[in-house]
Amino acid sequence: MKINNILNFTTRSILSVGIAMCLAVSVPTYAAELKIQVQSDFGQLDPAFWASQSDRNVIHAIYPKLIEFKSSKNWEWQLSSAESIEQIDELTIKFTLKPGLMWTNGYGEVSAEDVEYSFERFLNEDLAAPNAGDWSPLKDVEVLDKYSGLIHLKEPFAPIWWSTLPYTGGAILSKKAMEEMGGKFTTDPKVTAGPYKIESWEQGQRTVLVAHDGWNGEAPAFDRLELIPINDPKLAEVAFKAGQVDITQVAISSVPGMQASLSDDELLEVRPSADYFWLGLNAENTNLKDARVREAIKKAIDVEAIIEGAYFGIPERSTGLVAPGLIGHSEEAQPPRDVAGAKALLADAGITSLNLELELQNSTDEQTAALIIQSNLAEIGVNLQLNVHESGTFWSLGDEKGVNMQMTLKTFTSPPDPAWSTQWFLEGQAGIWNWEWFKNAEYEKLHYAALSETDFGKRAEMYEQMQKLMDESHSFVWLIHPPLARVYKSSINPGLMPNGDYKLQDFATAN
Amino acid sequence: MAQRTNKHTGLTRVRNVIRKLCSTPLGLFSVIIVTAFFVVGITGDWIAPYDPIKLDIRAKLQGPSSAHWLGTDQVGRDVFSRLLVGTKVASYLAVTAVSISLAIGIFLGMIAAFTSRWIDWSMLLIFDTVRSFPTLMFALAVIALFGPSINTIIGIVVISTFPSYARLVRTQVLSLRSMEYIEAQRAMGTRLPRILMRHIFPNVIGPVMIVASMDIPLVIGVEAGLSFLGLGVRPPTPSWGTILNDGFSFIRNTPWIVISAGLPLILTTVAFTTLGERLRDILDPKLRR
Repeated sequence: MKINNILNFTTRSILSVGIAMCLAVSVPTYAAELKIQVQSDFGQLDPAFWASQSDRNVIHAIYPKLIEFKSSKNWEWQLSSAESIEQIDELTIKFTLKPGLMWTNGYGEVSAEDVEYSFERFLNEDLAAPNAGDWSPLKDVEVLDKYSGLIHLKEPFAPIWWSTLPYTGGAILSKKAMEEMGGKFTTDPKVTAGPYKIESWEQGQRTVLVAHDGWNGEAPAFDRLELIPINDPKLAEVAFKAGQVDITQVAISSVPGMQASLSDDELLEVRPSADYFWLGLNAENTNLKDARVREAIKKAIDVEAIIEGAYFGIPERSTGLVAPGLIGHSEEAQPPRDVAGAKALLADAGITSLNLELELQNSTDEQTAALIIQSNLAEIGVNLQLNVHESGTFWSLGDEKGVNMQMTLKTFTSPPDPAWSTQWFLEGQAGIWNWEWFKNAEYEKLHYAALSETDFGKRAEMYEQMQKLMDESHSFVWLIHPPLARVYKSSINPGLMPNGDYKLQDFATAN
Repeated sequence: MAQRTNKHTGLTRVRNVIRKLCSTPLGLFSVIIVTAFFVVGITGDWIAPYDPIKLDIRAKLQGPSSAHWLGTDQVGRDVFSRLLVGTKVASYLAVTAVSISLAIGIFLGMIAAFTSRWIDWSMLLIFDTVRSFPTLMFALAVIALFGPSINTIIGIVVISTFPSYARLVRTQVLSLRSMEYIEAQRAMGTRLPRILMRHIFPNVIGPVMIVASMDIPLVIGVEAGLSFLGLGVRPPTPSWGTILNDGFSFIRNTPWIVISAGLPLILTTVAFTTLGERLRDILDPKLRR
């Protein structure tokens, strides 16, 4: 019996050591690895079709672009795969690629033909790309030589430098590989040339990115990144505390507690996103048609209390549609709460009591904000009914309710150019995304003029004027630009865009 | 004199039942909790120390203290006051929904038992069809159609539970219908409504009440579950489910909100279930034997 036990033990020991040695030989070791929490798995890596923040993160890391956003707190771009790029005139941009940038899997060097293919495919009607708007003013790309080309526009298009070239629309794909795949793919691009390439993808579990040795720019500091999808920020916080990830998003409600309990090797960063959260009042609704009623509601709402109650006092009060750091951001503060003024306006409108409905989603932040709004409006005699919806139902309300919609709490996401935000409030969007049914001829004129205006200063003035027009309509109560909070190990210096999005290739070790 | 004797006998019977209920620790526990539930349900508005819907942002998420026994929620409302008034909502729902369901169930059950076979079968088919709806899915569908409110929840509970009572009553009535004393009443020319009310109903109500007491946790659970999902009682009305919903987001740093609403929910559910089982043990003659 004892001999058997000894033999078994010896056999097990030899096997264990053998397996361990095999693993040590077969598993590659990396100089520097990082585990990063992402909110969800990516679902679409085609730049013409991407939909989520997670798609965006990976697209920025695996495809080359002529220019890219800097990892900083301000929206500024820098050269990336382009050696040079310049706007020759309002309708022409000349670029020259850096030589020596190689595609993965032996697909050769990145060339101007790849740029031509990548940008022009957005115009392909058969592709029916949802992100075709990124390149809607593109006429064509003219290839001058292997590395140079001219981007010809049909009309001046200012957002090209903010939300197209340095953003997802500027991603360059391999013409040869794409043609082999029939011009379309979803999650397997086959060939990439960015600072990182995909080593493996276990759907819903992890995505492993490794440094691409054909990248001719500055080599990323980390050889290997593991992107781990954890949807619930509270769970992600637990994963961070347990050392399962090196950086994670945290819920805003956790920020005060986390700030108080941060250890020496942890850092917390909160950044305002370009997104905007506001209370919308439908000017076409019978109960809200009178501008005095809308203004009274606007005056009665205690935005500071909403920020304190729902967002723990962390974000700044929004001054308008355009977030700080973006062109056209207004520095002019919104007026403070004025209950007496609100009551006077309602009295002037001949209203003693009013029943209204507010539609919102079932997130804690929105429900808390809605409770405060309900309490604020009760003070001026407005009885507010809160209609809480899950996300899918909420976003179908525009079709369902039309002008019967009264008040809504909404957050819209925004790329780093205000044109993508102002477009939703055009007359043609009324009832679709413009649930305020805001209609203003001057606003329309300014929107289209700003799209073509290449003078930075003049363009900024136009967006400021558009926000003034929105304020004068009293249909919008701007609340906040929802912040994004991340906690990370102090040993790393995270690559973050101004809105808190990851810029994976810019992650570095802290000095 | 005869009436007084009947009343006396009835009171004695109730006293006996209560005495038997309280004779075991579990029975006593259930009687105390159920009594407390209804007492707080009736008096919640008056005994609540604070206005349960008044916001005080500066006092948000405070821990339990002498000023706020169960702390405050994310907008500074007193959780204890919300719990008391939430009990009123739970008891109102439980009593209203179960009473309406009972009334409909007893009425339809008696009709099914005393009507033609064809109508009886049709009614049985309807009862079984309605009973086969998955409660939560049915609730979500109704709320999607009519919107969340207390009345919608009452409607959902009534529709989900009345077939059980109707089926039970029908079975009881069918067995009573062939009893000699009922046959005698019919032979004497007593009218059917009188037979039903004076001779059938008193014999049926006991078992039905036992089932009803066991259904009360279901009603409370449905309300809490739907309100937790944001599909039940409309804010700012407090209910146990909305308190749970409010507290869930802050459970790591401020767990007392969830505990404050979760504990009464568990205790009440256990108490009503235990009470039902004890009542069944005491009142069911077969089990008594």
